[in-house]
Amino acid sequence: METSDVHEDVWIPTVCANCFSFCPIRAHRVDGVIVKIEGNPDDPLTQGRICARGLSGINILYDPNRLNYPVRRTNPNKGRGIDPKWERISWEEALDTIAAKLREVREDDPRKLVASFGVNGGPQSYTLEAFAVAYGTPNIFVGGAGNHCASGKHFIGGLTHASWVSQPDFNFCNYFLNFGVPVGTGAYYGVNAAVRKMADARARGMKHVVLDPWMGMPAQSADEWVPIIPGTDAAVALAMTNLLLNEYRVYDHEYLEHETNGPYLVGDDGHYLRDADDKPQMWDAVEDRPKPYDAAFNQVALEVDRVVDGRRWRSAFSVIKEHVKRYTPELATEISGVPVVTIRRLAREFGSAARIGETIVLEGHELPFRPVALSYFKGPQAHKHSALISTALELLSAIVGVRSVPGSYVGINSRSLGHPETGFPKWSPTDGPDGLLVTGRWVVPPSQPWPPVYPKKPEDLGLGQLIPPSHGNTPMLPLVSQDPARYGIDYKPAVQIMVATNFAMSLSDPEVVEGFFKDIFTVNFNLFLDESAELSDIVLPDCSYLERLDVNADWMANGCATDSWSYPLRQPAVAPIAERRSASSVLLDLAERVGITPDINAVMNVSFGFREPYLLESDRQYTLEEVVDARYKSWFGEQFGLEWMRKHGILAWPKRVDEVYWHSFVKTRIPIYFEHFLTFKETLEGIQRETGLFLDLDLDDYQPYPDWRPCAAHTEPRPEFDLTAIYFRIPFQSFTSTGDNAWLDEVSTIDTYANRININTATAAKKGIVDGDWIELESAGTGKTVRGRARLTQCVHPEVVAMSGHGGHWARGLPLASQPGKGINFNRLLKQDFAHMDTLSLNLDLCAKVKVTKVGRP
Amino acid sequence: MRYGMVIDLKRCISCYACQVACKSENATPPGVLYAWAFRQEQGEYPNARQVYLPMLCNHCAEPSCVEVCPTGATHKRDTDGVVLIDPEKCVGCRACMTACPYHARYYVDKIRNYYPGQGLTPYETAGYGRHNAGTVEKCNFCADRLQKGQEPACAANCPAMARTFGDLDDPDSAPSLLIRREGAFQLLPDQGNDPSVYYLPAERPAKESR
Amino acid sequence: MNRPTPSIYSDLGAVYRPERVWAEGRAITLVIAHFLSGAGAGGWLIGLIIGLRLASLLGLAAVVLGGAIHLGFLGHPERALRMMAKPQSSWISRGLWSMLLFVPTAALYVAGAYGAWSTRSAFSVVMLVLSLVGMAGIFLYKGFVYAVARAVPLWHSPLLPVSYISAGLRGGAALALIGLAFSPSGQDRHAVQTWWLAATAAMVFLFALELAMGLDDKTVRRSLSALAEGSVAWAFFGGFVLFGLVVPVALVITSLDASIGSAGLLIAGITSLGGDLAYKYCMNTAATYVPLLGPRGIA
Ligand code: SF4
Ligand code: SF4
Ligand code: SF4
Repeated sequence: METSDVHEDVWIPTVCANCFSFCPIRAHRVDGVIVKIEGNPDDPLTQGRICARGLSGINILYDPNRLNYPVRRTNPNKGRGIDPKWERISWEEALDTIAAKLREVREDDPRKLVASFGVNGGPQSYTLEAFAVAYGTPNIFVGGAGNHCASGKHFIGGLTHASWVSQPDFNFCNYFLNFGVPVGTGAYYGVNAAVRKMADARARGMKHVVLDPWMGMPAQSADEWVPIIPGTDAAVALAMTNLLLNEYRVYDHEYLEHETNGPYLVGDDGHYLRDADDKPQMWDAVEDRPKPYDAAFNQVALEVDRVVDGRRWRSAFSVIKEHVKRYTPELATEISGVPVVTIRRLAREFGSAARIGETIVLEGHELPFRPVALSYFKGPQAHKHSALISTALELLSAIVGVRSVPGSYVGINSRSLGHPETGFPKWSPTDGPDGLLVTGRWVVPPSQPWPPVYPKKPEDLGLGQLIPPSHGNTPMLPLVSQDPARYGIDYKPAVQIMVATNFAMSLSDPEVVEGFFKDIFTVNFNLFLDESAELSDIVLPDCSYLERLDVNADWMANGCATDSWSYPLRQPAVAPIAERRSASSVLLDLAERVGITPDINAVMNVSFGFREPYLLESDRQYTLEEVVDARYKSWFGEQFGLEWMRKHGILAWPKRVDEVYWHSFVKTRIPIYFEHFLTFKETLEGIQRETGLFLDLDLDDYQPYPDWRPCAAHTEPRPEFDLTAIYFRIPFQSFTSTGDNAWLDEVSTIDTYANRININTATAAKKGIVDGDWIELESAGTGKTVRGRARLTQCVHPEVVAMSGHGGHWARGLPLASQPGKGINFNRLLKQDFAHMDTLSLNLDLCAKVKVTKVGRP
Repeated sequence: MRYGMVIDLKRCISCYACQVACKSENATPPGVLYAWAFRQEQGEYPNARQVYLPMLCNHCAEPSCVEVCPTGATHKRDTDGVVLIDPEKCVGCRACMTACPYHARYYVDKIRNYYPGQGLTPYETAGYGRHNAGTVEKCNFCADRLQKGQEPACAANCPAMARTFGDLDDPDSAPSLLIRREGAFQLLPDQGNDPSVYYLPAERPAKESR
Repeated sequence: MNRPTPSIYSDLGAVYRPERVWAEGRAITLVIAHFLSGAGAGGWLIGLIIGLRLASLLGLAAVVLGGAIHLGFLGHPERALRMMAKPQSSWISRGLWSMLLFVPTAALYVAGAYGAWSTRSAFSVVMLVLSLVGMAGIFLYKGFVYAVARAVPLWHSPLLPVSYISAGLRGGAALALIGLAFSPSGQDRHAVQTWWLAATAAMVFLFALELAMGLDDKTVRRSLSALAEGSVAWAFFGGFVLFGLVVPVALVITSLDASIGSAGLLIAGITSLGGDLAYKYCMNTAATYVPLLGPRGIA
């Protein structure tokens, strides 16, 4: 080591990347070595407090198993367990090879490029996306995580909260009905601020009730745990809705009348009864006639059910109110296992906690006060009927007026009125077609929820164009790629670029996904030689988040619905070690080599939101520094460029009342009735007729109001497949990216649930299983098996086996993570076909019916 | 002065961040956990619950570990009540470990690294100088941080702000107020150690809300 | 592999956490050392009382050997003398003082006994007295080293020091049996046998009494089940009961009136000592801490 006279001791503000929360951190560098990572105390949201993953980032930087130079496969055989026989190559050689390949393919057909990235890659993913769009391919995928995600929730959330995700308003919420979301308990968005705020709320007296098959992070610390059969949350929510609407008559009439499409009149075909100008209509109770929704009304009728001139006019609200009657608490109990008394009590508690009619004055504005929140995310909705589940849960919120008002469930970053000095950045929800809500900013622009993007015959391998709400979901990719012609696609993918994703492992049954890699030349930017790298052709050593500069590691402005905006900069805490290079800068370089610099500049101008005078010129190759500088100046004003950000690390300012509670400041209506799903359906039927394709895409779920429908797991006929397997999140691992982190591995060993298959003690006793036994799960869907050690517990539903979603690695390049007993690769249990996918959001059904047997060993 | 801590089990979300914050602050080798946490289940489904307990040395007012230490390596600092181990004096007889009812102590037989067979990471190289093979180690309330006027790392980092650190001798300090007002308890009070780490029960009446 | 024993990880969440640091791995040296010094002190005393010099000599040797082996347990044996620092509070410290007092004075006394100078000289008398003081310290400290561990109920009993003294005497009597086997005349055979039987009876009685008194303590019951059916049951039944009690008792009783050959004495002595070692091992290994969480949760 070089000796230097100057003893170095500095703290560098930057941003974590061990999960998509992207907390501001600071790294302590002493004589060139990172000796500590802490939360950045300058961040008003996390207040210098971060999770176990973030604290362990040092091991991501210094893991001796990191890839340090480019390698090329010399073994043409690809597959799990086959040694790629890596050969070290120079960067120059790697880039020449890749550029040549990309030029060749682009000349042939640019659509043959597949770009896939992971959520934790964040900003690098944006760069790859820009590269792909510039290249000319529609095949852009959020690998893995996009699948184990809340596609239905995101889409419905965009329609109803003007946001990608929402959060309880912990400042005022008094009753939090939580369908299994670890918000405030160590995962979800804005993790650490939410943890603090949740703790404050609970100390203040907020009641936290969790419905979850597994007593995981949310339920462990909650006031009440309500165990439930996986995939049945919608049944409970619909029964509660029924009770509130039809029996207890507790609902926010005012809200439904003025701020939802509840009063819109619909006909027998389910469509709005539009006027001559194609506008939806409402019934004026005084004039006793329908009028266009934007006319002046004496009195809007919320409930309408009448026949005029032989035509039946009903309000959307009346349709729904009638529809939910079939969901009696008794039926919901039969489906969900939640006792009738509990359902009734929860409905009462939820309804009365909403304090319908009350208001609160904040900063001089009198606003509705609804101190009750309902939250759901991946868990309850990652099922066959994802969108219907999401609409069911949203409906229960909507009827008590829980929509971005004080105390309720608030969209994260729905509205931004800009930094007080510069007025940037600025976006706001607006009123759109049919008088319905348009989001101000949507993180995945092509699939914006409203006005709707209608289905069309797909050109992309993920069928995103066929099913627009799926926004970049991956589950179809391996299926379509196997046989594109079957889906009316006239090319086969030839080359793939992967950044920060390990979807060979994290998507679904790895053996199916593996097939996708076989005939595609894959260039993989990676920290490790992980499972996906083992199936790739060239692997490039990426910089970890502690070694790189990023364009927008602040994409969620730190993910707290209330309190503050906080935009941190991710900058290198140490110079890249060995030959590591950041994927973003390499991609800019590759763009030049492929000859698409003008295109990528044009795309970045749009996707990063550049504005005059910082727009990138067309024919110049920019460095990453220049791009980042342009990004910060465009977003926040001249004074807040890269230089300022490097020094200060964070740009933060308080959120305003009219930002957080935007709903009271934007005149529009929010759908509780999704009429356009019917139009989607009709369009899709047209495509089916016209092409003779996609006939196995069942369109039953394309309906304007919710229902509960069973998953494959609920209808499995074979009695030996008697348990449902689910996975859960833990606050000290993030799926496939932290498995080799030795500190987290140690925590996972200590926490007796993390690496085990958790099975109810009574269930285990019936099967002769004792704690610590090796057991095997066989999936009813795939016939595949996984093995793990049983953990007998009282904390899981007797019909469920639960395991953490982080484990089960097998790559040689991850020696810690790939030892037997380090968790279970749950995805092997997941079947990938339309029957196990929500055909409205392409969310994969993440519960699997399994047969459990005792086996001798790993 | 008597430094102490109150851990609010109602705020705690069982995230192990304290354990890892401690590890990263002190560069402790594998299996050495000055701060740690564990879970135990109580009751039966569906009325089961999990008790999760974050732990650290209690810096007892009557430390049984000090009493049994034959060398005087383990001692209680008069100025602030922090119980420390002088690594130069410790012979590694482990009597203190059998005497501590709270399992706060670890014998470091040799200093292992976290990536077996792959050498020390630069972080380990930088941090392992603080550890002494053949001696007993434990939480020292982050004595170095205290000297700089900072809280112990676990408390400073706890995302739930479940850990309140301060002077128990000062009746108006934050931990003293919590102890008085919220019904704090000590672990194993019958042992007579009088721990300076208190806990607030997970289930307790809420403060009046709006 | 370069990993710590995984037991630390599972111990963290265990309701009844086993005491391991004085029981597992290299702690066997500590068990042997404690056993040896106890038996040695016993051998010294009994040898003196019945005038069996070889027994005293064996006792002294056992104490020395025990001390040496003890060093092997320490993380820093070169710092061993620092353990003298806290006699005011630490029983280990007191034990070390005792040994350091005992070994030289006993050695000097023995030297006199073997003719270097007269055992009746004032010097020898002083040595004798000091060695007896040291011996008493050795007898006492061992039990207290364990008994002060308030969180380990199997050890934390007022009877434990007494029962460890009786064990030391039994060990001493066993050394005397061995000494007898090598003594030309075989005088005092009855005295040795009586001592051995009495010490054995006392030790078994105290052990039983201690367990009986601890029975209503859940943690003690836990330790007992470890003895009865757990991981140390083999050492308890095979080592202590069979090897350490049944075999030597049978030998000693059957030979009370008859003459027993040197081999018999030797076997009785060795099995008795082996049994004591097993007993010590069991007492260390079955030790369990009081649970951190009470039966009804915390507080
Ligand atoms: S919550 Fe996510 S981003 Fe924040 S510190 Fe933890 S891993 Fe890093
Ligand atoms: S860091 Fe805080 S919330 Fe997390 S386990 Fe420790 S005490 Fe509990
Ligand atoms: S907790 Fe244990 S180690 Fe810490 S002061 Fe108390 S007795 Fe000593």
